[in-house]
Amino acid sequence: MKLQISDNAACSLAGLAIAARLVHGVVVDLPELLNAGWLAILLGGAIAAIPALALCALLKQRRSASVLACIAHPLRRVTCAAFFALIACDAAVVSSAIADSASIMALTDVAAVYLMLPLLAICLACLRLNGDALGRSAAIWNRALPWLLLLVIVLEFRDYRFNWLTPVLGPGVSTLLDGAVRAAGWLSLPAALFLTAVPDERNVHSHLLPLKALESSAGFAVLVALMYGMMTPAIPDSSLFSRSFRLDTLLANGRTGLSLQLPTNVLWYVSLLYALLFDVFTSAAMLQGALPRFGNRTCTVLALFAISLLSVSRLSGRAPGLRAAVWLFPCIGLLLSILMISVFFAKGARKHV
Amino acid sequence: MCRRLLAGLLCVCAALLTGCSTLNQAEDLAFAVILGVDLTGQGEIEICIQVPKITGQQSEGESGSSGSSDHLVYSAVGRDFDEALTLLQWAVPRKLDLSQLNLIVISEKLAKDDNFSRIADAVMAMPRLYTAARLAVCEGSALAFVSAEKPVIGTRMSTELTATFEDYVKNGFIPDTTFADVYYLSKSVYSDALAVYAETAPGSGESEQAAAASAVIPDASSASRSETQQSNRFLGAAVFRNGSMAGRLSGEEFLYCKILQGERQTFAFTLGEQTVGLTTLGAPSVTIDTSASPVKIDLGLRFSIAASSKNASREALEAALEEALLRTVSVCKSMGAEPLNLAEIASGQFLTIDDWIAFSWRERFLESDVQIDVRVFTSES
Repeated sequence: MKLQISDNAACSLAGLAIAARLVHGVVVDLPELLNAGWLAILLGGAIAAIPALALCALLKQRRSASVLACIAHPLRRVTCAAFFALIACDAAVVSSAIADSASIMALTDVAAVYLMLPLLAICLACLRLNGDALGRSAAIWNRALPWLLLLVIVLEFRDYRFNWLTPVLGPGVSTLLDGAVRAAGWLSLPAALFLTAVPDERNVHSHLLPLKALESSAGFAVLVALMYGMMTPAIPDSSLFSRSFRLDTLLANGRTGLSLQLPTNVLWYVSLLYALLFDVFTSAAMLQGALPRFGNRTCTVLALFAISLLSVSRLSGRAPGLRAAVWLFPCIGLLLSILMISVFFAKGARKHV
Repeated sequence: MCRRLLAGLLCVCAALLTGCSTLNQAEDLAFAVILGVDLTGQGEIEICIQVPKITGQQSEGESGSSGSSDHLVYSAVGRDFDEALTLLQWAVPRKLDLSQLNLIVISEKLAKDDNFSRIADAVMAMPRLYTAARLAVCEGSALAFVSAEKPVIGTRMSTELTATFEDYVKNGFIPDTTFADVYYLSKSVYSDALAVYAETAPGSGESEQAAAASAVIPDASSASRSETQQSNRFLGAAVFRNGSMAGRLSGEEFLYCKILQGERQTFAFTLGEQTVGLTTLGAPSVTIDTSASPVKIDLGLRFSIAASSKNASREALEAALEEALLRTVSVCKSMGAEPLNLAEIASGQFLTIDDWIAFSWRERFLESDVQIDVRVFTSES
């Protein structure tokens, strides 16, 4: 059996993973958005809705197999290879984010490689269970997450300063659009997962699940960005833009008591772990699409090897990650366009015959 | 077989949930409850900490009058904060743990120095230093302040400080701010920050003539007119502007500042021969016209009189409160600071932060025309 996932499981996994990815990308890695990160995510969601709708149209064309299975062999291999490269780079950034978070909170003196590689090894064990297990466990966490978040909101509510969300446009339109394009890129990452997803026969509208994943991840990230904006005032001092300062203000904040650090950290680390699992599974599935003769284990090991190399390199840092994020949306959009043309062209050719 | 292997692996992982670092016994750690930072005469940084001893029983030789001797004070001096902290870690014969701090004390000399901003950056950058601890600016030496701070009613310094601050905040004697609050606001584009102000020795200032109308709040001379075992007194607020201390608000001035910020407060107000109990009603209505020159700020505040004070003259009370509140605004303006949370409201009239910064709110506030309208409600009105 190949690496595969059903639509519903893909929706649960992608919604959670991309929400965590967005929060890290916008709140931690884009401090120049100041108090308007939530607006950049909203705009990014609107931009990413276009490829999401294209993906929905693609999903509607498949029958019992995944979209990738319906595509001609050479094109499938090229598309999968391209997606593998994009997702592996993102996995390296997420791995680096988890290592930085662990370093800030407890393991300050430990080398980054010791913080990253054990986690990637755990991903190897998780991927043996295949995509549905990952998706269903994400669905369980998605049920607990809102309650934890509600607890954080209730305990922090008294400290929220709603006026700190003004001026509304924060750093200005150009910086906001820059952030929105990056957010759209991260929101488009689930396209690769849905291309390998098989339809869920119980769900008649399973072709709309990419839109549902987009809504849930963007909605959750907007809420967290708003909470962050109301807890930490806009600080234009660029010397405080380091990842460690931003992570510290997100996880420990300093304006709330000690009691909230446990639920906040549980929310953060578990969500980031699912973001990593999403990236690792999707890149392994894409690698299998590019190299169909290799089995699950080989593709998983090869994908993890590539991600490990990228994680310990400079490419997993904040600056390279942000530079790559600008190109995510155009690349994914281009790949989806090519796939759409191919699928609809093939469909037209079949009708003609 | 695979499932058993996985289940076994999960059980092994669960055993590691406590972490892979070495076991930390409480006696192997030095939990600092108070951190003090000062500037020496040679321009070096002095750090001091107060650490509770873990004895399990009260020390003998106490007469019960000056608190326990179960707290140790360590200090170290260095060229900068990091060097002083490194030396302190050597001075303390245990692993220093700053995650349980209750209070961070800065001397007034350091708070007013231009280097304070760099010290604050170093404190915030310190891993696992509890930045939600209260920040107090002490009048004299931080080391003397930290050494003099002893639990009086309880036996534990941490609970002593927490109980003291909760009570003082409720009565409007001191602001409810943490080190992180002051740090963030000092760096932000909004209002200026307030920290707790504290004195080491009982106030030796001359007893000021009480005004005809004023809030009943202790002042610097109150300590000499009251009997207490406390050698450190927390009262009023230190105002920060651009990352350093700009001035000080007395207890009464801070109370009015707190009311202008929109915080709920119950307090006693003396009007002539009478003392009335007042409570704020709701948040103040704030209208800021940023297009006018000078900027026009209209504040509307409502108070209700306590049932026992029904006979007080409402008009006289309103006039006296307006005068007192305007006096506080003038004091803030004289320091060149705006700690009244008005910047957050004014910033809503701008689209971008660059526009807001270009508006130069603080300079505009210093020249602004502030009008305060006070309404006092009794049970009959």
